[in-house]
Amino acid sequence: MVFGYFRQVLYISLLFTNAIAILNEERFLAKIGWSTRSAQAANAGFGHAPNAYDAFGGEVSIKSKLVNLISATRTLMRIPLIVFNVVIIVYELLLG
Amino acid sequence: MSGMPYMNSRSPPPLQHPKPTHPAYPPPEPPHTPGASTNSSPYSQAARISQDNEYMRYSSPPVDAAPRSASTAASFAATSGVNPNPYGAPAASGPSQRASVGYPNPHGVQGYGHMGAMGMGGAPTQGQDGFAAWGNMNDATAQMGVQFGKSAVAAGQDYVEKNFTRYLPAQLIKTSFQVTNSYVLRKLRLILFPWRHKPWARQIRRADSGGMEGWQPPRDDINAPDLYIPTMALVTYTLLCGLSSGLQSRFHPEVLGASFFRAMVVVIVEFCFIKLGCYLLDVRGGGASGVELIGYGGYKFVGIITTIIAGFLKLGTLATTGIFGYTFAANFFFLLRSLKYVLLPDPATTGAPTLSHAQRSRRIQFLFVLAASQLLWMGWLSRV
Repeated sequence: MVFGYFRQVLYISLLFTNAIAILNEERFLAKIGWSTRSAQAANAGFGHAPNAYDAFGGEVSIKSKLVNLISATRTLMRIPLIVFNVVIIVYELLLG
Repeated sequence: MSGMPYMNSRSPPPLQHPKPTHPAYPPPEPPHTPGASTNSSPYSQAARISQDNEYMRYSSPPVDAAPRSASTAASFAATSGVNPNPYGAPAASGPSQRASVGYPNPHGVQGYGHMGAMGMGGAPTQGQDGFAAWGNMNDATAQMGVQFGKSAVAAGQDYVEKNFTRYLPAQLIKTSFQVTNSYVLRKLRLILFPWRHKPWARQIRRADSGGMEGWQPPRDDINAPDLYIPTMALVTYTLLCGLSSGLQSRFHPEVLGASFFRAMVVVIVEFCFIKLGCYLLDVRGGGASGVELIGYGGYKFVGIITTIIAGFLKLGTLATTGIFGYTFAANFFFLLRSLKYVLLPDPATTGAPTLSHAQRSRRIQFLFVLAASQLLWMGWLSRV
């Protein structure tokens, strides 16, 4: 049942996830201050473990959450993204 | 014959009952020649056996003892294939689960059903239950079929439990569909006219020890989100899209599927947006649960349907736009009031930590953006 809107939405989400996954940690994110190390350093100043996942008393910023989200996407979704991309490339090649 | 037999002088001898020469009354059969019998026809085989055993048979079907047990087994298997889980807890709730359980079953169950039907030979009448050689074999087959059906049903249930109960909160969905007529009417009135409603907080269902166990179901609490109205509104929206395209003479059956998908896409995208916002804003528990968020997101369809109907009535562009604006504003207000308790925790009800001022303002901004984005969705979906 891959027709119309469903296919478009699938492609859009796949492309966005690809875009998030290919942001390189050292070459790009560090340059704009969005790397995980600097975010951890900023949060570690509160005296807790340098891990934004724990409950902090409400001072976890949006930026640290975004940084964590990006790095999590990169780590977890790498392999499934490879699979999805290959599937869709083959589909597009075969069926135009 | 001339005249009545009684008037005749030479009357025939009075009727006598023919004395049976042997105990069984086999109904007329094709003459069976020994050695030339074909095994394909069950009738000939049964005739042989009946004449051998002097087994009293009632009517033609040879597989007499079988059908009772086999038909009950087949009907059990068939009904269990059709209605697999009257007793399964996870499957009694959602139609999606019922459909997914139905999938592993029908092939196996219907395979048995065909087997049983062929064995029965299509006998329409219930034969007398004779305890002949046929009975034992078909009991075994019937039992095997019953076992097979039972194991298929159990396998289906296990599959569903393993894979779907993790993701589908069955209890929550069941609660969301517990609505009454008065709830539906009042809620619809609330969606279209939320300005005067006073207490917007949801009521808590207390556990026996006095702690908070959960929320009241919709039938007891007008402020509780349900799934009944959004589902109905979604289906009504699809039908109205079909109707509208038909009135404009451009109907084709794909319109129904396409409009349904549009609506589902909007609901899902909005749901993802809310979840992402809740994650970024560090809202505990992801705001409301997924089921409730879908419920909240589905209420805008009521306004969309009103706008579409206003378009049907040909009230003119100005009036239709006015109605659209009004329903959007009503939905905006409704969402602001309802989601306030989701995003901004009430310290009286939950033991959540208090927020800093910056966090509060950020959440309020998010709520505002959320409610304003309804304009986008409603506008897009109203264009049928």
